[in-house]
Amino acid sequence: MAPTTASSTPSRPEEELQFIRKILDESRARFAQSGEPYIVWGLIIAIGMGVTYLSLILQRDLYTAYVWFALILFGWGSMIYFYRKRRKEEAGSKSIIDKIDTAVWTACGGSIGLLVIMFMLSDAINGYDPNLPNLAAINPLFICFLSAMIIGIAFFISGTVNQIPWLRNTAFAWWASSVTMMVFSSSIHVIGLYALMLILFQVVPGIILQRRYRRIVAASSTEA
Amino acid sequence: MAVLVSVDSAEFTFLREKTGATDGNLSVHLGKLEEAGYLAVTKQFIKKKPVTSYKLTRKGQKAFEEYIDRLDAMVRRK
Repeated sequence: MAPTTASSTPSRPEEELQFIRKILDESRARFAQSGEPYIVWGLIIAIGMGVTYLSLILQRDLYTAYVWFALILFGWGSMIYFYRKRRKEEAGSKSIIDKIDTAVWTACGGSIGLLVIMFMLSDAINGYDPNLPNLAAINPLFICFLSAMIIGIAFFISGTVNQIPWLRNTAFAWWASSVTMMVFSSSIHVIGLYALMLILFQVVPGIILQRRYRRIVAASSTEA
Repeated sequence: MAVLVSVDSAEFTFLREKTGATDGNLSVHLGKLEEAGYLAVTKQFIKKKPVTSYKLTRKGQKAFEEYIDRLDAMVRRK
């Protein structure tokens, strides 16, 4: 952006409007929703679920726990990288939409993480002493329908605050899949469905968002 | 004002970078906007560094919108 001083700011109305439009476009680019976190987490969980599903179908140990550990570690590492990158881009300014978005997805990730820990712990406890009350008297596959419901909520809020209707409407696909997973919760194929949902309704939206983000950034750079 | 309308708040250094104004020039303009009640100013220390943040007030937002409408009307008249 070419620097301007207060003394050389546009004086004609058309120039003023153009100048203001340019500033607003730059802000839009700065706070545009990036698709990278959607793609990364969508792929990570889809791969984890895919490996889990395969190990159950093939009745083989595919070192699922190690795979999940590595994937989650990579996921959180990526999130730290994206957060730092974003902070650098937005240094010196704060956007309420950005805050809400971050809070929603952090809460979503945290809740799903808690669900996973609860089920793993209950499995560990019951493995140790089967006489203890089963903390996951709930079917462990319920984690799929519960997390699909939570992801739906996050998409709905994120799409609404960012004013991206198609992103908001992705929530309905997640909620529909959540109901399906609940109905068929005794079937291990629910895990495969969950992995498919992540590719179709998290990774693909992430790719679309990322293209949109690049278009917005490119448009604001051209005008500058 | 255009920068502030699209964010929740912005620091002095951020505004200086976006407007390309000098420190003195920007301070004067921001001071006038604050006097008029268009800006709310917060001064704090972050990691022992003084940081001044500016936020558009409702009055400021309304004034900016009216300004844009008037500019638009002038351009349309031409």
